[in-house]
Amino acid sequence: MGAKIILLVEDNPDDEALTIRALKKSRVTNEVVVVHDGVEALEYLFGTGAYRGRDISKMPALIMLDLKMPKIDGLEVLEKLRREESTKYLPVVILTSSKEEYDVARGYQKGCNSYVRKPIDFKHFSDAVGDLGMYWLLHNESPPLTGSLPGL
Amino acid sequence: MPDLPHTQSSITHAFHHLSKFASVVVAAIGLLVLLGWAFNIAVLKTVLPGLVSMKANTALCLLLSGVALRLDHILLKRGWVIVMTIGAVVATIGALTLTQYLFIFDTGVDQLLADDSERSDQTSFPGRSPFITAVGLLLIGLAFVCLNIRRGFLLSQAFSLTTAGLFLVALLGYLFGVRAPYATGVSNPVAVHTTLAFLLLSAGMLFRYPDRGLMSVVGGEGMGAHMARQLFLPAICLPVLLGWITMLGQHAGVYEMEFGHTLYASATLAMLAAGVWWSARQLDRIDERRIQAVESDAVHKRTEAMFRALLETAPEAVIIVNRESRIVLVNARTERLFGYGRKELVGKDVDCLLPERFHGSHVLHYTIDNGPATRPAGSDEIYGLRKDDSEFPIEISSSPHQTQDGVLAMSAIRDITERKQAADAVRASAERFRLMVEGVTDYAILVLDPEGYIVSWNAGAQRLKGYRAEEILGYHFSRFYPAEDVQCGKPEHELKVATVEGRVEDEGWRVRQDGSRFWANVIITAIREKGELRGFSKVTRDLTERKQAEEDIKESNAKLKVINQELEAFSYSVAHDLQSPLRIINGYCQALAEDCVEKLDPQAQDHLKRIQIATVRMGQLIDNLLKLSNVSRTTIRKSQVDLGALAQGLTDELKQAEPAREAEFQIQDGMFAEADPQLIRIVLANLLENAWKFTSRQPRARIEVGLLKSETETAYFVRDNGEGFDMAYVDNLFAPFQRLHSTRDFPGSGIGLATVQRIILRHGGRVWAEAEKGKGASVYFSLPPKSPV
Repeated sequence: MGAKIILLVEDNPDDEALTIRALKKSRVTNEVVVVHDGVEALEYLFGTGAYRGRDISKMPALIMLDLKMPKIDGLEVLEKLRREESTKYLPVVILTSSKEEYDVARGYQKGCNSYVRKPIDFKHFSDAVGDLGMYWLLHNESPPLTGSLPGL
Repeated sequence: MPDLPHTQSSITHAFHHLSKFASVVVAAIGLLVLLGWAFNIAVLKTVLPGLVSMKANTALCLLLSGVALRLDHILLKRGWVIVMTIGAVVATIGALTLTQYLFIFDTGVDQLLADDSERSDQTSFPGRSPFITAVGLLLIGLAFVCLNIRRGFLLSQAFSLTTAGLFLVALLGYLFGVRAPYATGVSNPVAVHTTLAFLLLSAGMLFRYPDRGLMSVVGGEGMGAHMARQLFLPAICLPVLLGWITMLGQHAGVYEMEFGHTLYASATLAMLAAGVWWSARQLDRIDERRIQAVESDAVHKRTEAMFRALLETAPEAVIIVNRESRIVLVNARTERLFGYGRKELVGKDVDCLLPERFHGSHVLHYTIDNGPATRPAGSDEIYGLRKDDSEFPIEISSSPHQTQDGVLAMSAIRDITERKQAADAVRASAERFRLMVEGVTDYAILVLDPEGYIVSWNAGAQRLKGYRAEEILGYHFSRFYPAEDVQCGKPEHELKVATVEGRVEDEGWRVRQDGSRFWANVIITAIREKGELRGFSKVTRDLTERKQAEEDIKESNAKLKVINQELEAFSYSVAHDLQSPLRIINGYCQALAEDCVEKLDPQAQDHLKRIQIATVRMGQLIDNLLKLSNVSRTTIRKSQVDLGALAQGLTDELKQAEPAREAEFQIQDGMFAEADPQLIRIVLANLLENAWKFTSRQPRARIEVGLLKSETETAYFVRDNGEGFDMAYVDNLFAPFQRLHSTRDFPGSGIGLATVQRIILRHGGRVWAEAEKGKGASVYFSLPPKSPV
């Protein structure tokens, strides 16, 4: 399980800290890479910009994506991921404050795997994040890597 | 061809004149003979020398008789005393003379008047009237006496007739040269002029009253009288003539007496046979004519009856007027129309049926004076006048007719009150309509001729386009169109479309007199009469304001869209940005409580807990507010919703959330409603959550979902046996953020029912509640039935 990385895309440092705390609380010990906006997230995933030279064969096992971010927002990031072969099947969980119907619908439309609204009560938030980690990193089988799909 | 029977008046007249003539002639003869005696003029006494003279007494009696007859003519019955006295005198003279003959003595009456001693005729008694004359005098005198006595007239005629017969025999005696008839025995013979005078006198007496007594047979108008007149003269003259001729033959020795008689008998026979044949033929002819007359009379009567019946049933009043403007005949309709009885009208001047202003205008006898032209009906307004002095409009048509009684005018009169009222009503309505069209100021209403030239113009047209009627009438309507429209032939095109399709509607810019433009709605309608194009009506409305308003609305809609977009962005921000800090506060409170668990005393821990609870509540509030604003923003998409199934699903969720609670749900089957499924779900969820919440303290909760149907609406309700509320505050129930319970007792945001109300109102329904504190509450909502699309 140690090899599985969680990519947390979150612009708010407080949220970032609380999310990491919640993961720890739920005993999710996987490496968490934090990027602070959409641009950075894409650079990380495609090994460009600040992350040039990163081994892009190592992809995160779970991306926790905030929606409202400066520069490129979450939905845009999601759209780009789904367009690229290398990131097409990466599990993406949208983790956001909004449960606006519009946002939920757009999220699924763009191809997210799960949509979770962050509860205000930290205990509930902690439980939710813990559950997510358990599910996506432990129970869920990760998709095969790019290009090796047998005749689909 | 025999003459037509004379009318009674002409025959009677002729006989009457004969009677008058006889009286005068007889009196004249008597007077002349008297003069002859007085002055001894032989020719007056005897007429021819050697003949017997008329005695003075006879002459006097004849004079008296002639005078008496004439007086009777003149004085009629009033002179009866004189006539009777004269008659008595004459009769007395006759009687005295007769007495002398009978008893052979001389009373001296014979030569009382004149001396007859030198008499020329050798008679036995000088101056004495002959015997026959005496009888004649007596008879004629009695005839005068009886003439005017009641029931004596026939007797008088009998006397006159006997006298006539007596002297006719005397006359025949003269004619055949036989003495006996005029000279009986010892008596003097009767003079010729005496004989003639008596014949005349008795005729005069007989015809005194030709229509009465015996003479009525001759003087009457009947067939017998006619025959009698025809046969009278031949019956008297022919036998006399035959006898005389026969006698002449015998005297001349042409034949023997026996042969003479035979001849006479044969001739008489032939004559009688001829007379009988002629009479029979006459009678036949007359009878034939009479039958014809009777038949034609019957036809005439039938025709007349039919004419009368037609006249009486005629729907028009028929009045026949003679040349003197007097009414001759009217029908029943006339009586009804004018209120007079026909007896009142006949003989009256026809002007009585007209008001005074029409008197003498000859409307009812117009044609008599103006030749045989039928007066055209309705050429003027004419009124009739009823008996009660009321007037009514009439129509008259008259025509003259030449009849046996002269020219008559027949007028047919029709009461045209109703027709006139109808015509007046039509006229008034047309006038009202014209005034209305002229007075319309909101619409320009004008009429164009088939080529598009303006022929009428109303106040609205002046207001809209600026032209006064006199400035624009006769111009082409294309001058209301902008130059670019005229160039591309739009006015003509519109007329063409209106001609073909009957109507054309257009909206566009038009030009006023001052050159300014206005946005107009124009409807051009073809006016057709019996299929032929008469022109066009053109109704124009100024829609500049409406167009402005439409553009204003477009503009504000665009603005509203921007505002809505901003609001959406705002809501979005609220959802994200307000929730985020709350979560962070809550998270760090938790972190603080956990990380500094030794440093914080229990009270500090409690403070942190309260902060966390407040953040959660605020999050809920924000969520509910967003929901409420979403309800207002989303568009409603109605479909049929099974409310029962929906409620069932929601209650299942509630029970699952708190499986320990003892609760009974009762949901009616078959509750279908036309609603937006998403929104109606929010409604039911809110109501059921409330019911669930407010029954939380009940040991046995009971929640009912059902419907009530009234004539006007269908209401759905959610009823519980929970906490209820005080109806005094029911008005606050549906207002946002208003709560009837403390958060301590029953948590909540105060937005749920506000949301419910907003959703129901947006559906066109209404929502209300009933409750009793401590005994439960019912919340009702109604939805309008499916609109018939």
